[in-house]
Amino acid sequence: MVVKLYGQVTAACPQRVLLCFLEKEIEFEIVHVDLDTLEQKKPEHLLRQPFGQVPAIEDGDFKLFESRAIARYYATKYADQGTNLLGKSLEHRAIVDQWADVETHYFNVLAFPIVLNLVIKPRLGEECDVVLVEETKVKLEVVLDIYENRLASNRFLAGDEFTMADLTHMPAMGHLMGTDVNRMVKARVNMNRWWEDITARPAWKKLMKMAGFGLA
Amino acid sequence: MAMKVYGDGMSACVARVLLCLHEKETEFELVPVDLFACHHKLPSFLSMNPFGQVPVLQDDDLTLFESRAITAYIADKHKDKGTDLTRHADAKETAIVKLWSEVESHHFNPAVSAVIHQLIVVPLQGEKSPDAAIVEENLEKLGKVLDVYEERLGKTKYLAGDSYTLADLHHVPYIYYFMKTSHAGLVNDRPNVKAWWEDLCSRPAFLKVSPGLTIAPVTN
Repeated sequence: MVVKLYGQVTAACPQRVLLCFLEKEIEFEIVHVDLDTLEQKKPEHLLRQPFGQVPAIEDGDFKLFESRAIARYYATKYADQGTNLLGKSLEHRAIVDQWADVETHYFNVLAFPIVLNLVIKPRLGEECDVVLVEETKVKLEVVLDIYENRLASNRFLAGDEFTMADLTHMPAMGHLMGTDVNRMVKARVNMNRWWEDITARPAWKKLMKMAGFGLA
Repeated sequence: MAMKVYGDGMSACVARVLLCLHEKETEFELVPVDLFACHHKLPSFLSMNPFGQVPVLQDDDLTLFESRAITAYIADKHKDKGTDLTRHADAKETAIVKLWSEVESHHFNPAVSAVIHQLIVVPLQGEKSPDAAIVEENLEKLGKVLDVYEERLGKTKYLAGDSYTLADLHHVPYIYYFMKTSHAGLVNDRPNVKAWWEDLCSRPAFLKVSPGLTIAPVTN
């Protein structure tokens, strides 16, 4: 029996887990939860995820939510298979964790309102908060400067190899790159190099195909 | 050589790391960083943490920032002593600890820190008054998160199960500050959350760290 992922294949947080599965060569089944009709807020899904969000997983009797916790569990469980996402020593693991936490506390807090307003709200026929988007972009420029500096001396965020620290950024970055934020990335030499490098990975290309997008 | 923590004990994020060090019975040196004089924005500090925030940990050649990455590192390095903060012997249990740690990061922290920012930090900066709309909006979000916790803590003694872990520890400093505000009812009106909080703040490690959590909110 394979792990079941409850979610929508075009949504960022399920994509984080799917990308981990693909990098780790783990078999899975997607059970579609339709975000356009707010299926994630209905009682059946709330039993899986009490905050009414996707994804959630069921693996036999084992159930989990929070995409970063799910990805970490499978990256650990299948440590010897596929890409090593977690780092090779105690110290390297700590650096991977550090940049993965940067994604949560500095990047996602800015990426999410931009994606919500420029990508999700139009789909749902809701009005975009233009002022918030512009204010958030200004803050994002400051954060991207720090990333640019980091990537000037490191091929990937946690060092020489692709890890969870890079992977965890990719779904939201993918959505952002479909907006005019892509100019901010392309204007930064190292960020651009990093983005082209990580989106050339076979797992990302498979994910984009699954999600029905053209090649990034 | 003992680990060095750069920061000030009044910072919730620094306190998070200090709690972990005490729970793991690990020696450390707290290197003061004058936050009021913005020493965490100086080039010498930015070379350790380019985001200009405390805490930073130094352990021999390793320099680490992000308080939750630091607690994970300390808990992993010293997994065989002190409190078992990650349930490292069982991968599924470890994942449940990580799940509720992520809940703290993504659901609890944004709401509670927005309230604390308005009621504690903004008055300290002295230029403007707390934004009542931001406080109200985030109290509502926090209430919904605590409803989920109330249900969860009706089934388990701690968030990730029957023992205290990082999932609980990460909450402690901001709850402590929040309980000093006039909105403590959000915790006290939920019996399971209240009992959980009373347990967390009776732990010896907390009693060592709480004297450093000195700033007081505007009672608003």
